[in-house]
Amino acid sequence: MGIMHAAMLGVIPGGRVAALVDRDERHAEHVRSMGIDAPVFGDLAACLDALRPEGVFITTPTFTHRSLFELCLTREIPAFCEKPLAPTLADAQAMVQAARARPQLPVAVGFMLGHNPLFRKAADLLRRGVPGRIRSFRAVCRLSQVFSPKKGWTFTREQAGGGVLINSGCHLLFVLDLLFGPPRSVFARASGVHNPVEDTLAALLEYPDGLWGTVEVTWSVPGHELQCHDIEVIGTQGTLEVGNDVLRLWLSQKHEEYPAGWSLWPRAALEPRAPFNLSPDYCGDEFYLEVRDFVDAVRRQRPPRVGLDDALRVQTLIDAIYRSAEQRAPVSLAPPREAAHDAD
Amino acid sequence: MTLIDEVGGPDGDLLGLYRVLGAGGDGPANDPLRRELALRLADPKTLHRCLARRFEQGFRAVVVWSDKVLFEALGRRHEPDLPRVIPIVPNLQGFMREAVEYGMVGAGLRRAWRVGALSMAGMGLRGIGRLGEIKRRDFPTLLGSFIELELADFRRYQPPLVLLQPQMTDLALAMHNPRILEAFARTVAERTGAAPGYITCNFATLMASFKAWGIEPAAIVAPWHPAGYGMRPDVPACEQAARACPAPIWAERRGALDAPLPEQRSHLQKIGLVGVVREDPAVWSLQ
Repeated sequence: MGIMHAAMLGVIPGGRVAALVDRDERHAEHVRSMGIDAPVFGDLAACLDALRPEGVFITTPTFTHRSLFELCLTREIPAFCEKPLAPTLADAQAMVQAARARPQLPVAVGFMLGHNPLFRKAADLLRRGVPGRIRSFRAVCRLSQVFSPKKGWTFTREQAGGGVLINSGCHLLFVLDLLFGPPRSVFARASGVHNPVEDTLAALLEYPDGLWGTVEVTWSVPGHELQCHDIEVIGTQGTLEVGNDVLRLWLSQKHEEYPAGWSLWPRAALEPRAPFNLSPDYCGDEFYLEVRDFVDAVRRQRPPRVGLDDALRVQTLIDAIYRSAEQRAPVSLAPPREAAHDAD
Repeated sequence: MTLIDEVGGPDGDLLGLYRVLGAGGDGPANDPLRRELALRLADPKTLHRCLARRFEQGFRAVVVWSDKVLFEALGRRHEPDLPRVIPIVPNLQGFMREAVEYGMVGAGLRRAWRVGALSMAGMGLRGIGRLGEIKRRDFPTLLGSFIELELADFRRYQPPLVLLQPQMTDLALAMHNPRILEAFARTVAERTGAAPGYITCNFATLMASFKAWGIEPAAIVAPWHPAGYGMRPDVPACEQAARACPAPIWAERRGALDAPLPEQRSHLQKIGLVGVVREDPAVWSLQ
């Protein structure tokens, strides 16, 4: 992801990579040879002291996020932290505490789907009750990546925090939080098909007012070279389907400006769109938009669009799902907010 | 004979197989139509039959990724009753898929095994002069070597055109680094003699950079859509760049289900495009 963020900085007006930091300086040199005219540091503290950059993108393995993030904050430097925030809820809470102690510092988290207008529009349609009263949903995150035992930090519970849910499915949980807010309780089952961490997981989420939904996450199925996030919502007046690339609404009768039958919005038809795309098949607009948003937040001293509070809610849900899977029993969450986020 | 004469099929179009086989896009599993097609074409004999039939219908070239099923379907060398092959290199997704499964070294060894000892020895000899860059893990040099490895699979089919995959083209743009494009063009010229072309998702920006860097592309593949989807930074900039582009341009149409409508085709011709890449299910469903 570091390369993606560096490339996006290269095309955002006013953006520039000030330095590359990697404990393996040869790796940083390799990235530099892609065309980044910036010095290389083997240590973040040395880089911050020497250059005092306007902001830092933390795109390292999950288990390193907290220390690097806190280092940025103690130096009063805004930080963008890749998702998930941390391997554990305790680490994530500590990061949020550190950020709350410096409310003037913009800090962002790399849930890029928060910059996809399809999900924002879906949240708006649900909030306005366009498909009627929402009764249930089905949410799926799939990826074709793991078909045998794997090595590396991504597949180590202590370093990654878990398997497919925390590494990949956290994007789906971010969207569910955007659409429905936090659930009241969860009941989950998980299996490590090939690895000690879970390769496949299913959860039942229950919300106030009788809403419930299923979540299915796996990285061990064919046909999904790129990660998909698909959500189908069933309401009393219609259904809503939303994914990375398209939003579909089906209504049994006309509601406000929406006709009976199908309405469809492709991602490419909705603003904001990025003027430059490096990943056309997977969230290319969103990678640009999240970097531009962070740069703008730093320059204007405003909160970024996706911040630590969003990330902490996701981390809280991840923690509850893992506890439920381990205990093989339902787990209650703290009382939820009154309503889902406002969709702007 | 011009490149267009050599590869252009009905209405100037190219065939496309790179999304059909699922290496690009969001994979076939999300779309039942494409999934059915991908499963059908995953059989080398069926794929061979389909390619031969498309050739009879006038398609002279097919745009492809490096793919095991494809090589089985194509046979050991170019068959005159099949479309010419236009490879997209490098197949990073394919490599990363193997890297996740076998590790980076394992994935590299598998590629080397496919290429064969003789080609590897040749690559080793040529690499001696670039040892310093390779040791420093210089990206353009490594990219050239990686492309050379992939082209070794394709050389026996004598491709008339080789395309740089869009993420590499656009990475060079984002990083303002023409060395990436030069490494590609040099490797293609040295190892195949084919024309070097580029796939991009940022067409107007690419054309401006080509002009600034003094690069003359042999061909371009870029997104085109009746509503302007995917045309960056915007439709007027893309159309202006297309009119000024001396190289042949083919339109890529993500998600298209059928051939372009006549009015769409006439608009494409008006702004100077040669044709489209036909990778829609309709073209592959033809018997």
